[in-house]
Amino acid sequence: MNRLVVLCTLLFAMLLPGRAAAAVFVVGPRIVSLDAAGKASFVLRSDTLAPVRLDVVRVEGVAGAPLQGTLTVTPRELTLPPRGSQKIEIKWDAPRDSQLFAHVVFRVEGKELVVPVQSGNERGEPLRLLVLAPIVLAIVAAWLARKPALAKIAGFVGVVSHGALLAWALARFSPSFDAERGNDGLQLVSRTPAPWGTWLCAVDGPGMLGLLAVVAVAAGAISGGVAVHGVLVLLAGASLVLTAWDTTSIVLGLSLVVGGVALCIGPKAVGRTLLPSAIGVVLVGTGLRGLVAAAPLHVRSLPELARVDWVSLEGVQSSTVLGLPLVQGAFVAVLLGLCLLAAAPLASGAGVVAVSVSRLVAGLLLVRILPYVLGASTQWAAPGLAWAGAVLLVLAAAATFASRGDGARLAAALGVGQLGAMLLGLAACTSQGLAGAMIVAIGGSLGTAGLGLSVEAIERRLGPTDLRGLSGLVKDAPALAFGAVVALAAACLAPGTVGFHGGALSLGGAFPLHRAALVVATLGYAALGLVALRLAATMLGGEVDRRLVESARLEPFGGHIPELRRDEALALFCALAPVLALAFGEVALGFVEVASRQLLGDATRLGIG
Amino acid sequence: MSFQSLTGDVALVSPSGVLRLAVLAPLASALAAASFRPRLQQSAREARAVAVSGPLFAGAVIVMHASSLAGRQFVDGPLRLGRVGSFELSLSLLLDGRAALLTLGACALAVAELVRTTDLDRLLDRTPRVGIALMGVLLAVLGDGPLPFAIGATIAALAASSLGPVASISSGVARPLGASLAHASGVLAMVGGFVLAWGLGGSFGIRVGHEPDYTRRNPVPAEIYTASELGYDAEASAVGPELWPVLVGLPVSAATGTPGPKALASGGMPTLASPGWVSFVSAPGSRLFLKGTEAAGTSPIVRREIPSGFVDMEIEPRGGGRRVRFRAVQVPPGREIAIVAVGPTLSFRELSAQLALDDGTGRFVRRTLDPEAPEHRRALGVPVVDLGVLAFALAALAIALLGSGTLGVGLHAILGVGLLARVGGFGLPTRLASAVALVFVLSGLALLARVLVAIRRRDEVAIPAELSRVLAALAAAGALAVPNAASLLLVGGLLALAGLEGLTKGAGHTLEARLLPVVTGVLAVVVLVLGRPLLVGAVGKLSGLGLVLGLSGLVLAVRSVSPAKRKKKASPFGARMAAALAALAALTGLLVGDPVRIAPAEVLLRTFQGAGTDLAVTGLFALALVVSWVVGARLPEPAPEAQA
Repeated sequence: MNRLVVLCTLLFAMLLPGRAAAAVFVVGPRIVSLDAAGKASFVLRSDTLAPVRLDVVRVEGVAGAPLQGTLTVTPRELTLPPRGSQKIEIKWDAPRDSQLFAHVVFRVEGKELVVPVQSGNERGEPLRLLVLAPIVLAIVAAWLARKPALAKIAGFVGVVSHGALLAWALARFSPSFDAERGNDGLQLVSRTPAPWGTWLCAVDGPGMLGLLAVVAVAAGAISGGVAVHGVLVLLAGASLVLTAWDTTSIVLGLSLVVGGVALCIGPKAVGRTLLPSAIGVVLVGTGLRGLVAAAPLHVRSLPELARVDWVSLEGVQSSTVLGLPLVQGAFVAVLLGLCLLAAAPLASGAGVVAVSVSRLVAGLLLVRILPYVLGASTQWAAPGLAWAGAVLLVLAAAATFASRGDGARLAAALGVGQLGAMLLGLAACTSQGLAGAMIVAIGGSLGTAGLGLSVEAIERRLGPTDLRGLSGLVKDAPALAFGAVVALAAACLAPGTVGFHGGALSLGGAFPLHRAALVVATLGYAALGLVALRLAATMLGGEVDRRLVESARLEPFGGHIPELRRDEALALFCALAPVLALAFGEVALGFVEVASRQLLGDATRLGIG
Repeated sequence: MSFQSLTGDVALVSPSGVLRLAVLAPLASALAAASFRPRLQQSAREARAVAVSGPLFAGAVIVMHASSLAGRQFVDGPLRLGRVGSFELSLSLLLDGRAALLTLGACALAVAELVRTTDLDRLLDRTPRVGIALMGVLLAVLGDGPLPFAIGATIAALAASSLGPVASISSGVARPLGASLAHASGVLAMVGGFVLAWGLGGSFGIRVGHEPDYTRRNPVPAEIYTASELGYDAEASAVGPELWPVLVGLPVSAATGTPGPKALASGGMPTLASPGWVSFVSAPGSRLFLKGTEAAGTSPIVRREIPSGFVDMEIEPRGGGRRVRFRAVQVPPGREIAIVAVGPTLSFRELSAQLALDDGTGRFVRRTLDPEAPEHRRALGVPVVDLGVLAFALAALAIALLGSGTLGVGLHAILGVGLLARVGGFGLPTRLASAVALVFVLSGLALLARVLVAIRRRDEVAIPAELSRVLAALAAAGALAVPNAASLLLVGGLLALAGLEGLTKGAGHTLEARLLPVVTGVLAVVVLVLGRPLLVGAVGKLSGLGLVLGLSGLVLAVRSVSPAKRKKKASPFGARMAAALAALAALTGLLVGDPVRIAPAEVLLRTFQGAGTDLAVTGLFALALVVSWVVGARLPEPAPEAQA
């Protein structure tokens, strides 16, 4: 099966199209970047044998947003000689942190040539440390691998410094960012020259919320005894994906995430996880490369790709064999890759924690790619996506019954259910659905991570354990039981946890367009919590099983299940406190709303019931 | 359609800042019992005082509010989670007569359970669970929307799953199932809410806006009264909620500025000197302006007294934006104009308000839901109202008949019947009511077999629990059609069965436990007698009743911590608890209580008109209960070894 997937991937990569030829094009970088003074220049070149006359039709913000400030183009009218070129100078006095992009639209022989301009409002340089610092500390932690205490200190330094940087970013992040300012909701923007081009670094609301969740899980994982260097690599990768808006950086970040997962899981089970995850990353990269290649201006950033009209893209249709289906193919490849990444088989509690982070990252990336970049394609594929989500929810519910009390299997099944809820929300093409998908990605992953840590703590005491036999756990170890109950509820997106807000919004958002799929999804979602909450109720009630009391493992403890140690309690607290805090606060929906105004505005224009 | 004909039986809303305490009090007592367990293990009285303080306090807060209900509703919005499109996710609380009855029943059941538990370790084990379960029930029943219901039901089911006897045959299976299906119940309730929201002309997209921006979705033109004729703009209504000024059906008492009893609605003649009122309830942040004044108030609840006559009003949506103007709106003397939002909503209160509107044809909003109307909305080939009610009915079915132990079953029943009664209270024109009733009746008959099995096995623990389940099925069967009667039946019956459990077990050796059957029996009768006027809002401001009940709880708490014998010293800890409880009760009374005023006798009489049969049945039931409980209370005290 894996070989087949690799073969398909290679075939797909071979079929990628070349860039469409154009009579007039911009020489050099396809996005014109302004300097600190708001000035820039670019060169237009003609590829024809006849003189070409151009004039500036208009300058505009993205997606119909009004342009902030004044953007002057000199000259506004020109005639390019045959195979000749002309330097164009622009000046944009846009206020800082307002619009990130603008378009200068030329008229060339009755057609329009769009030159994207990127403003110079760079304030987010320290964001880069979110990626670089964990990598450095991961190397330190790996070097200190034989001294776990020191490695753990390095891990905590990494998490704390990460938290401090996030606090810095949060202090500058505007929760009331005005959509009318039209820069896709991106804040703290910075561009850094990198070997792969430009590393476009910025945050939006879901990204910020996702980063906070990842830091919480990382702190919990390190405190819970997961390999420190693996967690730090995971942290770096997740930070890169969540803050990067250019395609290459995203693929690099995903690679780091996969590496981090492998390091966390350890050598025994890495094979089962690494191969499908790596294939997933290859597919994601291939899909994104296809989109970049197919775009008329060869743009590389997601905000620019989001502005390409993939449906009526004449260049793509005329210059490739596959035409429009290619875009759909790229989209399906991305989807497939992310599914593989998210549903990788697991081995232990540590594996559950690591994969939950990768699922969070993949979920938010899915939201950015499908409705944002590939809005029209998503609309085209929405029925399929909705049914995929519904079927995944039903399958996940069935898989929870088949888990037979195995914590890791249960977490994997619930993770698939979360993916189903996400897909349903994405397919909704409504603001409710998309917000739901993002909240499921964050809340569900936090719950699954907490479940992994709980299972790890339980197995540390009792060995491989059937969770169904933990009756009366609350009497011996109330903190452990409470943590496990909250984790189970959060992982199955039960009411009272933040994931439920997302799951419910996904269902509600899907109602106008996908009613039949919604019925199936509702049944699946309703059944998703049967096993998990039954286990939770078991832990909260009854008496401790006599066989456990008399077991040799509990003999040193007088037949009682030991309570959580301080570090374990800290681990569970870090992972699960946000689940409850976000459920009963305005934070989750507030951040999602800030972040996704532009995104949701684009997506919901596609079709509403 | 003439605009002047737009009236409605819209319930008037009063803000409450302390209703949330009713939800939090049981949680506080649960946390206190868990945190101070080592200390409480030294004194059964302290333990019992801590255990019952939360439910008693919650009950007192609800009674204080309920005594001032009289046709209005109390709203407390402690948590607003945010708005996505036209969906406002919040954990607002809404207290009306039915919710008051159901929550008081839950509090009474919890107190009965805790009083009956005489073994100290068992009491300390159960106190946190009972407290958290009660908190969940209160959140679910008081919650103004499916989201609080889902959260509350799950919390309650999880906590109540361990309330039943561990080794009981009858409850062994149901225990985990109740918790498992609570999740399904919550999901189905949310879907039901979404379906009805869509059915109310909802458009889920960006066109509705991310904020409650009424300028976007309110096409009500200016000068509606000068135009005098306003056709219902179907095209505009498809966009989303609109604002409509509505002449509220309840007359307003000129003397007190508060709404009078509904029974006076047809005969009340306002005087010309009376002022009028303008009220506006919406998501927080919108401002109401009256001509020539600064902002008259900011939502969530605005209510202003103004001179009667014509008035110009403007509403500014949250965060600024273009204002909605209403020019020359006529405010009759002694009457109230309520600005009602019409359109998709997840709030039970808003849904109920807009369904109550009457444009003279009796349809207005209802025509989008009424299967008989040609323009009603359909989904999956089914009228959308049936689809929504089906989801709510399944949600209720998933939770109403489960649970373990008498308290667990009772709390589950209150959750399920409460949800169905809430939906039934909307008066939705659904054709499913009889089908839902049939399902529950059949379920009740099937559950009757379990009662017979328990009787045959002489399982004294299971008999009351299984009877409660049957009662829940019967109450749920009628909850859609006759929500008030079903709620009365459920609460009265559950209280009676709680007493029956105490009687059959005969486990109590404290005075409270021995008196429990009598107390619950009397309470059941009180519910059946006073519940009806409470539900229809005919009981005026009976703050005295609230004070009496609150003080009764206080006396019980004080008595619990006072020395039983002269040799023992009173517990300082218990005394502090009692003092704190008294202070909180007094504070609540000050904040919420109104001057004592009994509803006029003719109002009460009118309330009971046509209820003669009810009274006769109630009287017989009461007689039987009192006789049973008195006999039960006279049973000999169990031997000491039996107590051990």
